[in-house]
Amino acid sequence: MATPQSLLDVGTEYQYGFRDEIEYVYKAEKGLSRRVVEMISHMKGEPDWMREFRLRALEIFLKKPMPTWGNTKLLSEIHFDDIYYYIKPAEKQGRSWEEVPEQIKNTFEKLGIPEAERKFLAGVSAQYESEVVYHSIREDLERQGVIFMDMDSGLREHPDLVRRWFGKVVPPADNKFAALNSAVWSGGSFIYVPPGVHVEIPLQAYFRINAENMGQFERTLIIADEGSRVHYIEGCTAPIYSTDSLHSAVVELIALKGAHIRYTTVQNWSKNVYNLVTKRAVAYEDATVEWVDGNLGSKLTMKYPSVYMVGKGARGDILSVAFAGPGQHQDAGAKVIHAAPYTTSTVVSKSISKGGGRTTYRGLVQVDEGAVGVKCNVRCDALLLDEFSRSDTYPTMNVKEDDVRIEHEATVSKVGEEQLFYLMSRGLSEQEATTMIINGFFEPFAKELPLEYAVELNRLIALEMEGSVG
Amino acid sequence: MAIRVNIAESAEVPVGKAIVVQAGGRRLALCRPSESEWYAIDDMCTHDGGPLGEGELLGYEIECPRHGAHFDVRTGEALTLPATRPVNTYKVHVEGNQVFVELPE
Amino acid sequence: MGNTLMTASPAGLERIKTISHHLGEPDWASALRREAWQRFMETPMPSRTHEHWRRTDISHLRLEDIVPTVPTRTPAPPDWLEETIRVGARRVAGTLAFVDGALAYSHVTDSLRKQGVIFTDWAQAVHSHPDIVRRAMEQLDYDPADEKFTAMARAYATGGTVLLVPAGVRLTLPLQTFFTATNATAVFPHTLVILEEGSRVTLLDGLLSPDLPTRAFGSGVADLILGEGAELTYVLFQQWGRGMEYFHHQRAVLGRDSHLTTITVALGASLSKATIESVLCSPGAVSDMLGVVFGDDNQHFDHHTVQLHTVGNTTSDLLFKVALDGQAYSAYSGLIRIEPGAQKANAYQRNENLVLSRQAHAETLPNLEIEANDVRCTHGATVAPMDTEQMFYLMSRGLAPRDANRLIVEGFLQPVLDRISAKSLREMVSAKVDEKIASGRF
Repeated sequence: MATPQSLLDVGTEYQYGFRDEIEYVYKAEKGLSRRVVEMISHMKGEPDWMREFRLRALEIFLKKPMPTWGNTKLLSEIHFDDIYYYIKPAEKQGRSWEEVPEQIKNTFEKLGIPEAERKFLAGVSAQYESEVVYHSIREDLERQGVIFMDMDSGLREHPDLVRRWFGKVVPPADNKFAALNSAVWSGGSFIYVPPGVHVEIPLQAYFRINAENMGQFERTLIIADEGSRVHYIEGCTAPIYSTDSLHSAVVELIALKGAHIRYTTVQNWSKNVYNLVTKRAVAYEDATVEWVDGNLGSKLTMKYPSVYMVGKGARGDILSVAFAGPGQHQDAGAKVIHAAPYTTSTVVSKSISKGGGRTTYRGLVQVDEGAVGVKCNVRCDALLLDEFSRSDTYPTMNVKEDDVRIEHEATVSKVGEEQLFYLMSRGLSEQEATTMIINGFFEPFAKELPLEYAVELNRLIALEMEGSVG
Repeated sequence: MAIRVNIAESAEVPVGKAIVVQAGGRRLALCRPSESEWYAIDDMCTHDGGPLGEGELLGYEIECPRHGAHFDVRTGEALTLPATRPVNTYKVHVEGNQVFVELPE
Repeated sequence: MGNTLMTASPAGLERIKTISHHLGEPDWASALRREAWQRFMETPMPSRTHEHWRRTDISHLRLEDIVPTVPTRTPAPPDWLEETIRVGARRVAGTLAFVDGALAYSHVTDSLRKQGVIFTDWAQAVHSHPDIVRRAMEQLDYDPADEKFTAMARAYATGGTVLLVPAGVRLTLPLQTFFTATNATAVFPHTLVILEEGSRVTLLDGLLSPDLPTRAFGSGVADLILGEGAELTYVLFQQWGRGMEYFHHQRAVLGRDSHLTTITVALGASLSKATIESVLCSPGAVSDMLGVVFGDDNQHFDHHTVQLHTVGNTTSDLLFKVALDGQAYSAYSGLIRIEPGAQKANAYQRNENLVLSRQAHAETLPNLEIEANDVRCTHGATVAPMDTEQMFYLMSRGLAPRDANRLIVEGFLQPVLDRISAKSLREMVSAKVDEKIASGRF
């Protein structure tokens, strides 16, 4: 069996931990103040309503207490005064990679983004620190009226659409970190898909933090108009520093009647990043929203993607996968709110803890009065690879209607000895066998990813597992 | 039939603010978006029971101090998540410096 | 500090002195009461923001104003209680009945006495077996979340049962106690069960009354201590009348290779909140926890269970079934906690909710906290309406809708009641459950 030392060694081989020396165009002073917020708004040339929105959000942030639940110890170690809230890496956004500053382009080359774009993406957005430095979308989509741009451009070019929806799904006072994001947001994606348009190939955004003590606060708003479809993928990485960075995003999805949104996240921040994110979707009549949420990196993640089903026949599907190694706490989960009749949802959560890592599933299933004919199924599986790790499951089911069917099941266990024995009898080493079992465990997640991502995921797991057994 | 209940003196409610009042066993948020406009809604957010009357009034929108849901105080409509259902509204009359609310019996 | 508190509310402290004096308690017993009272006064009222108290509103309670009645006379059991006692009398080894905190009826078979079993009321036990009771009481912990209420119960307890089964004594006939309120507006039942090595017993604790004319309050504790290899079946049967707001904390500590089965049946009270806890702190311990809740009108139930595995090679299982009609509300929250190093612990938990009315409201929160890896922990929860196919089938067999409904609810709850192995108790409890189902709107 594993020894404590070998377990502590794994997870240090984070291959995206490199950092680049960059001359920034602008770097705000450390810390959060009215002046910093006004400066961000001013530099972006924003309309008055957005500046007011930010300043009010700042007041809310300062007033709201820190969460009293979750990992309060790690949360108390965030030093809000020691963070850069805005760093502008480049003068302007590139439309082709040639227009992106050399150093930054090299970073994304190393991360394989341009290659992925050529192979299997319909559009790419690349954010470096606070701003999107590269953006592209296939011309045929643009011709169909699909809008895919960074959030700042969205605000400039589509003010009415933005004002109609911005902060309506996640209002600033929703929670302390949503308020923080609302005050200092920068970058992120703005997507609008016109009625009936199906974007069959994924759109992707990639988020990179490079600076030390960086705070990244992107804001994403996706509106899928009636009968449209879209699949959005995001990925993220950061260098390894001895001090902590903060990533606090707000993502709002609106699926209008009959629309279908799939939102995939492969979160692979380095283990010094706090990842405190609010992701929420609203699904109208017969619309479907899928969250596919994979959390591999970060120090502490707190993220509970939710679907509010407000129209008859709406559907929400959430697949959440988490891997917590040494020093990591993945506090993830899912919320499904059935606010209309005949809405259905499924939640699948899979988590693995090892080397003293901790995974938490926190979930909510709610059925409001009048939401008859609701069906919901929740399934949580957790694997604990050693005796130092921890797994928590905290689901809540709140049902105010009788004609509903809600099922919840969860298990926590170790890797099955019978499975291991079988695979090893076939000539696999214990490590290979364990890796194979874990790959199988994550299979439902991997199969939702484009092939290239799935291969990458398996490689990551193999890397994480190296030296953990034997 | 509705019953009329005297709930406040108009001077108790600053313009652009809301206060919490008790009337007929209910807690209401009495809102005064302008000098002469008065609205009353249940002092209970339909999301999580938050005290709406303690929230900020922004024009005709009141913000729940707990999770930030906005409601239109004129119609009770939920304008943002996490609230999905409207809040009850009540008719308000002002006579002289006295404010009355109409409650269902 | 203590002095200010005492002057702030002397009524409670005076009442404790009176009770102690009236019961002729030894000094150590009244000292324990005073300590508990001090603790009760110093502990703040639980706040609604505390996870454990989020689902039950207690803001209307003024606990400091509630004082227990002093049991000054020996009352007779009311007719309905005599009837209940008489029905089971031939098939039980002992019965105790308390009315408003005073012992009103006591019967123990000779054979029980000969085997050295102590089955008596609290007031008697502190005199006849001071060492055992004192040692057990001094070891008891207060659960932080329920501290206000458990401390209050320990301070004000009058009546209540002490059961001690000596090593190796294995009783085949069950024991039963009943606790009722007639005139009292506040009750504080207290049960202490000590099973020595290799002993075995079944005990039913019945808390019951007719509907109460005014609002009444109750706070009870049950402490169950199982020695090595002991086997205990403990049935908590709660059928307080409407008007009662009752709080209960049950805590079992399981010794090596001991086996506990607890069956909680909650039918009554206007508001009922209970914590049911098993601490598996020795290898080989097994805890089976079962529950039945049936609510109607606007009854409010809040049950919290804890399966705490502090060491490995321990097993716990739980099944809680809740049926709700009318505007009834039930919250079930359950925690399985496996502490670090508790390898080879197995824990299971299942909560099923049958919602019979559109206005009924069920919440379920099955929680797992696992800090060891060589474990197998599973929980499941369901919320579902009446099965229309079953209904259709039964009605196609000629049953009226009302009878079909009843049969389905009974069929839903019966598997839990069947786990009460003592026939007399099972029949009594099942009859009362069926009675309540039958009295419904069906």
